[in-house]
Amino acid sequence: MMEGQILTYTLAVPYLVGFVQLLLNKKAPGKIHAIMSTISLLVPALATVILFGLYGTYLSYPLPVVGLGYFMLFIDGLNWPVVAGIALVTVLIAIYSYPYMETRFRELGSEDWGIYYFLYVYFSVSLLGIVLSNNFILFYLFLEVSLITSFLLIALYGYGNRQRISIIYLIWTHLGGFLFLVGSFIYGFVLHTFNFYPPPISVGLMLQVLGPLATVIVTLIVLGMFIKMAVFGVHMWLPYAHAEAPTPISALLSPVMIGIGGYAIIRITYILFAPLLLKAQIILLIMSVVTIIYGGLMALKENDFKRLLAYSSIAQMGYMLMGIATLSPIGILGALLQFFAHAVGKSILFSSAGVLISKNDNLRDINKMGGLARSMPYTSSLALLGFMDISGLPPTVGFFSKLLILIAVGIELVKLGLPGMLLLAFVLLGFGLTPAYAFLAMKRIFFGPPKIKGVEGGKAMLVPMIIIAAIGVITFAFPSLILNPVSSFLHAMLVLGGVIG
Amino acid sequence: MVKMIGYILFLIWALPMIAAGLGLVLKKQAPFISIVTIALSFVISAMSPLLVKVPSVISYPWFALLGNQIRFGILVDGLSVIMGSVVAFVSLLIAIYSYKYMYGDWGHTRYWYFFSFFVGSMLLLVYASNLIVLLIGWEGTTLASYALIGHWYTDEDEERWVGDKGRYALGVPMWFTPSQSGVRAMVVTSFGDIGFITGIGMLYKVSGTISILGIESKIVEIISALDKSGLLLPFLIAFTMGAFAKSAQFPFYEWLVTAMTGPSSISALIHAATMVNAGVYLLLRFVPMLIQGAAVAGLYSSLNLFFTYVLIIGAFTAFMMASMAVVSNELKLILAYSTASQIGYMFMGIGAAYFISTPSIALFASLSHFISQALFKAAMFMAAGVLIEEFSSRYIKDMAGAYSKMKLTAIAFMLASLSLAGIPPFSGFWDKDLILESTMLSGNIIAYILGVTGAFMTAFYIFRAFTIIFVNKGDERFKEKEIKEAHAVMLWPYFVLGLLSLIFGIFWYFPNGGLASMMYSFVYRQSIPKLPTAQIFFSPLDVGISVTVALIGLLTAFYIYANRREVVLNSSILKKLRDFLYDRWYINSVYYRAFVYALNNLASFMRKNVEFGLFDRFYHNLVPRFIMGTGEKLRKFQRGDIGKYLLVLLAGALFLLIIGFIMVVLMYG
Repeated sequence: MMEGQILTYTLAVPYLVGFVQLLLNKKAPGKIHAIMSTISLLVPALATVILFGLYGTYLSYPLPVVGLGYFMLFIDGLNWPVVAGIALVTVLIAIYSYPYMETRFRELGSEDWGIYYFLYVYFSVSLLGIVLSNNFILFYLFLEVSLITSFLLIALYGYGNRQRISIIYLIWTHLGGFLFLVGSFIYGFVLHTFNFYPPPISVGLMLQVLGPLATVIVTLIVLGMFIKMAVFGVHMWLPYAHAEAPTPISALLSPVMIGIGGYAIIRITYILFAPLLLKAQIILLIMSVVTIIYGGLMALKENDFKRLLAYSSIAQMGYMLMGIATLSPIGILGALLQFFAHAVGKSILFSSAGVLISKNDNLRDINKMGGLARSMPYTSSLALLGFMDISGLPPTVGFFSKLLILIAVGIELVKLGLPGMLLLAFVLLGFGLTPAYAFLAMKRIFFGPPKIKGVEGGKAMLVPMIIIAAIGVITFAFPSLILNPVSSFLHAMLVLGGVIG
Repeated sequence: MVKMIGYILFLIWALPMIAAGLGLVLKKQAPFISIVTIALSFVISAMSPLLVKVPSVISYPWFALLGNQIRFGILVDGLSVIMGSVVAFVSLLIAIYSYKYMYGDWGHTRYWYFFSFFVGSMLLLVYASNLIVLLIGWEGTTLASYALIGHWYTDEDEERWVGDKGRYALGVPMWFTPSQSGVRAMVVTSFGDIGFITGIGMLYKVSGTISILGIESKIVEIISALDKSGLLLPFLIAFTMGAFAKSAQFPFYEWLVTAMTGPSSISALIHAATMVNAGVYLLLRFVPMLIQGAAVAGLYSSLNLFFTYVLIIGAFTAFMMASMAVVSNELKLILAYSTASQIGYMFMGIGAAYFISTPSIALFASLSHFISQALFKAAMFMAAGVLIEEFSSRYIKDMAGAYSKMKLTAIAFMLASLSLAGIPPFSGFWDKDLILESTMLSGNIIAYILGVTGAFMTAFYIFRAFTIIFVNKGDERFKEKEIKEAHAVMLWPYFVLGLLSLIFGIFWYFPNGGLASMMYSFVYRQSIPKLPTAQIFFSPLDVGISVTVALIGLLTAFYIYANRREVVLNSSILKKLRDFLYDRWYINSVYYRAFVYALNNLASFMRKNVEFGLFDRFYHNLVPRFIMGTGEKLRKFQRGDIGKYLLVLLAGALFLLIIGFIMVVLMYG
């Protein structure tokens, strides 16, 4: 019994501890709050990793809910990279939060450590919950908690016009969630269950039962998740929210929160409705290419470091979408690895931006920076690793995600024949923009004649960043840690005829 | 036991990588660790044919790509052993030189970290058993070159720049700082890599394998399948795009020219031992398969266009870069042009191979030219490093009179120059002549003329530099400077390389076909035996042309520049020509206007008009305001700002409706 519910219990730990922290609020010093949160988040993080290591695919005992199917938490090959990415980033950024928020609280004039860490923990653990859920309703419940908590974090501790921006964020993400919910309602009412994992009926049968409604469901879910991923056209909320959120929250929002959109597209629409996606493949490809190029161009012209990173996230989501849009197992593999690589890379980069903001008088304007590598050797080396990660250079795990996505593009090119060369031209431009904006930013911020003397972040900031970066390098050296489970999952599906090759 | 010995060969690339890591911890000992490990790498690499049979693959399971188990491993065959050993040997000498050259530099630890990483990546690339392993080494060199080109990243010392400060061509600045050059190298080479990786994807789709030997065994199917869908040429161009970018061939050569902002030891490393030779290696690796596969598949003519492209691009680069070197005033810049030009010759040989009856000879000529180039170019760059430091100037005119104080350097530089100019019996003569002969046999007259003209200019530009620096006497400023010969630790590495250019040349052909036929049969009879082979042979006519052209070039340069004869350009046409060559055919300016500025302007335009003008205004301003104006009733229901922004929902919904509509139509259709 214990074994079957261990994931559920461990997920409950941070929820309980977070609540206690809210009650304690100012009664405990910040340091205690930071330690409590880190340890409580470490519980589900370690549990997921250990359970996956022991069992491969792990399912908790299902909890039947009348009319909704059943609720279950699970890890399998497909959500493993996502779970690993979230577990890694949320725990380490909890430590990083402490020195950062110390500065931020000083600026705001109040020290609500309990409220901050309560929201942080609820936000983090809900992100994990979303990815572990098997049921539309459970998925949405976790999603809703993560949206509300992150909204409050921006509204309370953000920068700039934070009330306005937090509302923009709230509305846009709810628009996405709403579309997703409508799609799942149609699914649930026709199939009499909200479970998407394991599929209630075989994939072929499902398309027959749902008939034309399947198209509507796929469209609604994909569109909802497009907003979440900030695909071109519905991306406008992201640069505001991610740039003005308190930086530790940006480090979670940017790689993790939006990447979950891509995961949902894979988990739900690719696994259950691949034949339909294939018909709409052209629009997926176009949206991904446009998103990569647009995000890259905007990042090229941006002078605010955090906003630059936000645009880079849009482009990176374009990468993920491109992997999905190829609709080949290797592309999916690349997209899921891209989630992990982006989580590693972008959380380091936002953390570096955070060092500049919190230790160097809210330094965000790139025009005021330059030559900072001289005075900040650690931060600049870490930022370089982050930029390498998003540009796909070894020795970072980003190498493999870019590699797999581009291999999938190559496979697609053979299928498309000569017209595919047009796609190749755009891919060259889009993927070529990434090193351009990344290393241009690196040059403008850290190289060139030193304009000012930077102050290095303390141990509490640098150590979490170093650990994240190190894991990015370790997973590069041993890619099988992340790739093999996804590979065998997709291969099994391929052999069973569940997905299209 | 045999397996254990095999795994020892992993040390060839792993040792420098370990040195890189150790150097970060034991900062002061970093140079020694690097030198010792690279020396060991060289020994193991050179001994490897004695340890395992050639060719062989040593690998272990790495990760699963769907049902395919990808293995991490090394491929030991004639090509990898020869290239790997040359890389390790030249890198070793450069490392020894660097010990003194970089002593006390403020970025000492960083330098040695990336130095070792660079060498390790290059060795991994050369020994890789499959394309993903190769790509790790490949992009590893990109990273290392980026870091080392921008080594003096604060841009404060103008001596480290490239180009004349304040000079514009077509309104584009023509001077470059270290940090800027690093970005240029990174962006250009990784752009080529995108084509390379998608090429790998196409290869994987049609063959289901990425291992080099696997591809070799399936090459006939690959060529037939791609030819059937009309993708053969696009595939080959995409697949070799990385090679063209890395080897600084037209149109990608610009990054190499400004890479001169790095320390001279790094220029030597990039040009002689690593980086630019990676593209040559990739072609030497895959071209034999292509030639043989196309013949078996009966599709010989379908590759004509591709190999003509390689031949012409190579010849054009060889010619064009040599023409720029003729007028350049910066010593390192002359050498940089020279490298791109010499790599152009290697590409020519590879391109010509396809059109002649014994392709292996032309391929061998390119391989041998890689070795010659590595020897003389490393020597020249290291000598240049000493000259630049001693004279505190990067311009050749300021170095006049160097011979009186630096006799040994002058001798080393002369030996290297004679090899570069292609004077017999230096090694540069034999292989360059063999390449030109193959080009003539291929029947491509344009390429041959470009190549021979290039050879003339090569002899001219290098003896122009030699004469100005070493033959001419110094002016008044020279007497005030305290110039002295290089420290022995720096001098010997390049002196040895200069001597080797001569020794390697003498034994290249004598006695009985000499080293050349030994290497030739090791690579093309033992390891890659599928191509027809023949005795290496020189035709008197070609040799005559090559030698005459080189001597005329050499003597003309000597005649014009010796004794400080000033070259006065009277006619305005000549002045324009000089400017045209000096500003690199204005191609850099055209690139900036066509791509860099254009993209920049596009981005600015989009930022202003699309991002803020359209999306931001529409979603977050117009829509809420529109509804505020017309929907007063709604306002009474909603309090404050939240209500206002809720209306943004509508705008987003509109966009989504359009995308959704298209999706629904597509899925139904």
